[in-house]
Amino acid sequence: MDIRIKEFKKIVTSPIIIGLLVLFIVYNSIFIFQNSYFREELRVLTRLVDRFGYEIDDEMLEKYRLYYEEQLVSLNKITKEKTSKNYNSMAEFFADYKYGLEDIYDREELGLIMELGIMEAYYNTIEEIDEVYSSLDIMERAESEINKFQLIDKAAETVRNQYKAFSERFQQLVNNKEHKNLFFLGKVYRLHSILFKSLFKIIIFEIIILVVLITAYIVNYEFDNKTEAITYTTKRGRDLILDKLYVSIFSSLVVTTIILLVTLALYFIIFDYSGLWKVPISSYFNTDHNFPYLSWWKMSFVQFLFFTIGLVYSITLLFNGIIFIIARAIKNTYFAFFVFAIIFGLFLILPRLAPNSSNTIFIGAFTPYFLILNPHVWFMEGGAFATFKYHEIVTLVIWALMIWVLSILSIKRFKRQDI
Amino acid sequence: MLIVTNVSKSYGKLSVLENIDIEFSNGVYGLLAPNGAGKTTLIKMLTTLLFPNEGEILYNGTNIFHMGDGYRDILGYLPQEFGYYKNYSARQFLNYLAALKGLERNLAKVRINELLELVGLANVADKKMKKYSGGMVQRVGIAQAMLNDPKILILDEPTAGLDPKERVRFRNLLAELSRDKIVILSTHIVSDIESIANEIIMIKDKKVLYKDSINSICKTLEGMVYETSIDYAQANRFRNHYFSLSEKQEGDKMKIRFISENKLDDSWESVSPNIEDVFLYVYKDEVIKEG
Amino acid sequence: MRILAHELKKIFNIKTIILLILINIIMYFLFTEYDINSFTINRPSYDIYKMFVEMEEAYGEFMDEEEFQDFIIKYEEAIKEADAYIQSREDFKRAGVNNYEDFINMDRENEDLNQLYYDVVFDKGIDVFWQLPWRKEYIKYYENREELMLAQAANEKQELRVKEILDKGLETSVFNHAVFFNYNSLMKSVSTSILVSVMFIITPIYLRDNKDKINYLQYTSKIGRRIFKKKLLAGLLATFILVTIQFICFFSIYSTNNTSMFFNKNINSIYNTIISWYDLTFIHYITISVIGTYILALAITLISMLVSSLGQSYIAVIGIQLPIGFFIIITASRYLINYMTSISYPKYFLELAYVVLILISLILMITRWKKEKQADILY
Repeated sequence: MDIRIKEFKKIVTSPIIIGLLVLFIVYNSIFIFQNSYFREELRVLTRLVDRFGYEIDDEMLEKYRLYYEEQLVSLNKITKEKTSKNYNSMAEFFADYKYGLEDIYDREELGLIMELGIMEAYYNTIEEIDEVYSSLDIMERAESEINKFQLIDKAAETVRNQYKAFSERFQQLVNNKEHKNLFFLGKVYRLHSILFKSLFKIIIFEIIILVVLITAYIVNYEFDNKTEAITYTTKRGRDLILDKLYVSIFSSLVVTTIILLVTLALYFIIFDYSGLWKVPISSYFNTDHNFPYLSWWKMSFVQFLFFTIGLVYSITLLFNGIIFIIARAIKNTYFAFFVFAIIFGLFLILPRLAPNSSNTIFIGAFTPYFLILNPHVWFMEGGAFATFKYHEIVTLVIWALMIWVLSILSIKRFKRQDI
Repeated sequence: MLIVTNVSKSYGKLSVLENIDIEFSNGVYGLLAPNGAGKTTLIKMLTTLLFPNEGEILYNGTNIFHMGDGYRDILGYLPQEFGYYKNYSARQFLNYLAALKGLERNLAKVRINELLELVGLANVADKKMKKYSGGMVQRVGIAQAMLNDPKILILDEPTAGLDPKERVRFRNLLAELSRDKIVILSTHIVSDIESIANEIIMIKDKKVLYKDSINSICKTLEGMVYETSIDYAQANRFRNHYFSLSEKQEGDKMKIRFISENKLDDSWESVSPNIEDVFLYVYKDEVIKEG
Repeated sequence: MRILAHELKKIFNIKTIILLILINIIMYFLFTEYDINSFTINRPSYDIYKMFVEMEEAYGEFMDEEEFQDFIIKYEEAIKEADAYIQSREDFKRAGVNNYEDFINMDRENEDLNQLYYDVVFDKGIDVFWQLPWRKEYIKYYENREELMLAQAANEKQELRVKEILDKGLETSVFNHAVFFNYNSLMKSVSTSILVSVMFIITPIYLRDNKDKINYLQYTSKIGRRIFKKKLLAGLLATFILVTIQFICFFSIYSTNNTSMFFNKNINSIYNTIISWYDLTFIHYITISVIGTYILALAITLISMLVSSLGQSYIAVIGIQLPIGFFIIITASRYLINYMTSISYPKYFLELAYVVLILISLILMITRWKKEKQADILY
């Protein structure tokens, strides 16, 4: 235990690792603040959900409509007074005011106008749900994905099969009314993309950088300091490499926790999700672009978040293992780092060599390297290569086994190696 | 003539050398001091790696730091610990250093062959250095120090890693070389020095304690070194009274070599002091401290 | 010279070269390949390109009023071609679509008609149907060119510049955004590959020797601490060689995009998406971007050398280089290599940015050298 604490101290006292950690957190904070200009608008939904709940049904819709009309009346009172005009909807109102609302209305009134505008946007979206979902064809989606990557034969067939399986889930999703839940309007705020696509991807890359540096640093520490002859001949001897592995895993988990904790805490302070944690992630409102995010399982936002965090931790461990094996084999830390980067790149470009007619083309999708590029569609329908029900889990298990075996071989080799 | 005048060096508040004055002319100088006494600091200043805080180092009247490459051109240096490119062969590495030393290409080629022969590496000259033993690497180090046929040759622990045979050969080499050179070597191995050094320099308490021929230095202990045989039982008591230099087993008795101001016992046999005796006596405080 | 050669050999050692090649292959396939391969596939940009090749052959450098009339005639001929195609197909006849006019006014909400549209444009990909909208668009551009150009000016200085272009008649230059956008997009990925490669080979330059105490031997040999400057020179030279090789590779690949007929065309065309502060032709622009990349590469070389000479371990230098590299590459590909000399930046922004970059890196490295000359070598 004592050895491990001392090894851990080598990491904690390394100014580079601490410095990078701080730098990354600062960068994440800047990223969050840069995207936070609409945070006030989000409160409108929070208040609406307070009042009506997030589940959309006829009763709720009726209440919503009444409230909205009530508000519209009070707006019309103001507009009548100031401009002697009457509006039936906010769209109508905004059409009149392309510029210069501020000249006519005071702050309080502007607040009402903003709130009503947003209410109307949500209302309109609710109205279009049924139509959108009745025309949503999962198999059409499959065909467009097949087209996009020009898949043929078996490869195309596989995608079709996966999407067939997914359409069942889609039916279930619609029956569960998972899509009929209020959530932040994706097409306007793109919060899912901000959080899961951008922020999580940034976080993952930061974690990988730190994990690579920490592991390479600690594994090759003795060789870099020319102390290998002393340390590996002590009573602990070459088992020290095991301590180093454990310490690097522990440290990786620590930095992962620090980055996730600080970044997500800041994110959820800036963006107030209160009342919406339990909204299904597959809500129609959570549609950033043309196609909604549809999860393979019924998941609430908070469940999705925790599953994503869990996957980030698992991937951290995978990369920890990968760099451990590389750093063990290549004693020059500098080259080890670049070899890691090159292997990363190879795993992204080699799958492109696979013929677009065979199932080998999907092998490339079952790697942690592929996984981390699309954290926003984990556990979801995710295009031709990622719409496998157990995509994430299968990738994790296969790679965990591979890395585990290779690590053991690597350690065994180290124990018999000439130093 | 290499003259160190009034040189002091400190690292921050830690003073290592104070007001050092030494003159070197052709010949072999042994730099003798325990670890941490400032030996390496002095050598690093003589080789321009460190800059004195005070004082100057002059070669033929010119400050060596002003001479620049004119000085380093006549300097050969074997550091106590030096790096090498693991993927280079000895020949490649020497070629590289020859370029740094400004040796003309053809001359360098000849010289490298000579030196590889001299240090006994000719047959492995084209093997990668990562396959070399410590002694072989050390011999490459010696060869590189002599590449430019230096007027000043500074060797920090040159015999470290050499086996006895190599050590003898190295000593002879130095003796031959030293006729028209200043050779300064630092070592712990007293026998190296005794056989070849014309003068010994000892540093103590940040200052030069002795700079003299071996004979003169040994004279400082003349009439104070004795040998006698005692019982093992008495050994401890004896050691408390007298400074023991060496002890060895002889039959059921112990033969002890020690220092005493006067001859107090007839069984004591006066012997002539050697440089090791002086070393042990001079640094007795440090020895104890270190031990 | 010999020392320089030795230092260069150390920079370009075999392991480094192998990794360097791998890095470049990966960067090429991840970022650059798309803009090379898709250039002759992407629609409508390739249709636009072909149209402009034709225009270049017919009108030369600029399109004057007379040539514009010819361009209109070409448009009408193209419509006839489209008409002929439509009339050649039975299914159009059945749907009551008799000519191109009918075709564009088809009710595409109607599933069958939409299917027809899709068939012509996407499945069969008939060229003329891709070209026509753009021919029409470009006729409009030409007719309204003054207005359109002036609309791009956001302040007085920009307006002056636009007026200058209009006075010289540069806006009628036969040059297009398809080629220009493609080149800029390529340049971004190529400069990124170049900067990454440079950082990779330069970063170990001092550390490699300092870490293993080879500097003891170097600093006490005749060359002494001037080896520092030699390495600096070797590093700059290595960068120069590397960048040159990379550019040779890139431009030989780029030549397959076949854009040389546009080299002498002014970039300030109404059909292009940049208005430059200067009267540059495409080849001028290419030259400037190449020079810009060289400067960036040399600046990053100096910065990497600074980090290398200060760093104690590889981990430390990687840790420092990552954010520096990230910052420089992002800034470069956003502001320093992309749409260079555009009036969307202040007039001397580019010049100033490069001068500042050079000055900062030079001053840092000169200061470092001055210190190194006086430094005690403790480790």
